[in-house]
Amino acid sequence: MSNRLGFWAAHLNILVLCGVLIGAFVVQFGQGEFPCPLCILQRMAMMLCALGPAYVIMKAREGEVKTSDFATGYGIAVISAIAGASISIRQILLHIVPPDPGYGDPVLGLHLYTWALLVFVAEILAAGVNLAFARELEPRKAGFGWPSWLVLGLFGAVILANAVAVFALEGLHWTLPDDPNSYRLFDLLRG
Amino acid sequence: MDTIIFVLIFFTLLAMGTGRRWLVLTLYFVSLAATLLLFNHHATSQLDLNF
Repeated sequence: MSNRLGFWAAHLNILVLCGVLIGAFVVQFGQGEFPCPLCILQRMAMMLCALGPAYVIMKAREGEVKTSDFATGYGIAVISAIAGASISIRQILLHIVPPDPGYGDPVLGLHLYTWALLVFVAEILAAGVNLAFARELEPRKAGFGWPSWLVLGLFGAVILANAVAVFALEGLHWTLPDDPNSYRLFDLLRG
Repeated sequence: MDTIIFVLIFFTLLAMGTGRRWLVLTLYFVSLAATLLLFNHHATSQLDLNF
């Protein structure tokens, strides 16, 4: 048994997280919204979550994935998802008291930080299922090839794009303001 | 700080290519710790909740 389901589930896991992160970019640049510091922290946590399945995929490149490596990957995902959920819950509680309209425009009825909490909970569930069925899901003789490079490359590109975007937002300051309203790097360049 | 954390996460992904588990875990936990410290920096105000 090659357990390809677990191998491709790790790819799907990364693709879903990249999809959410690209969606955040669409809101940022398409709708002209400035992400707050907590929004950026939730993006970081999603990337830290995606490092878990990425570790499993990279281990499959070397051949059979050992149970200890499979557990390391999904352990990383669980720890990161708990950290991310804590940040999302903090932001939900900041805006939960009426008549606070929340930060940014809602998407499909929920604010982005509420969607982020759902993503982190789904990530914990996905990691739990993978760990519970590790014997059936840990990849053996999985075909690591160009689709895996493509998914990992997309993930790498999303991380770098966020690094550039947040550098433009932050400029030469150490941290973001609580309520950003401009790209401070461009403000600096304009003088 | 935010940019540095994104770069750290990127280096963690690159470190996976080396196959060294300790290097990946070290970079991962440094990235996670930096993220949580930044969260601690931003979570300053008290929540306006009343039960």
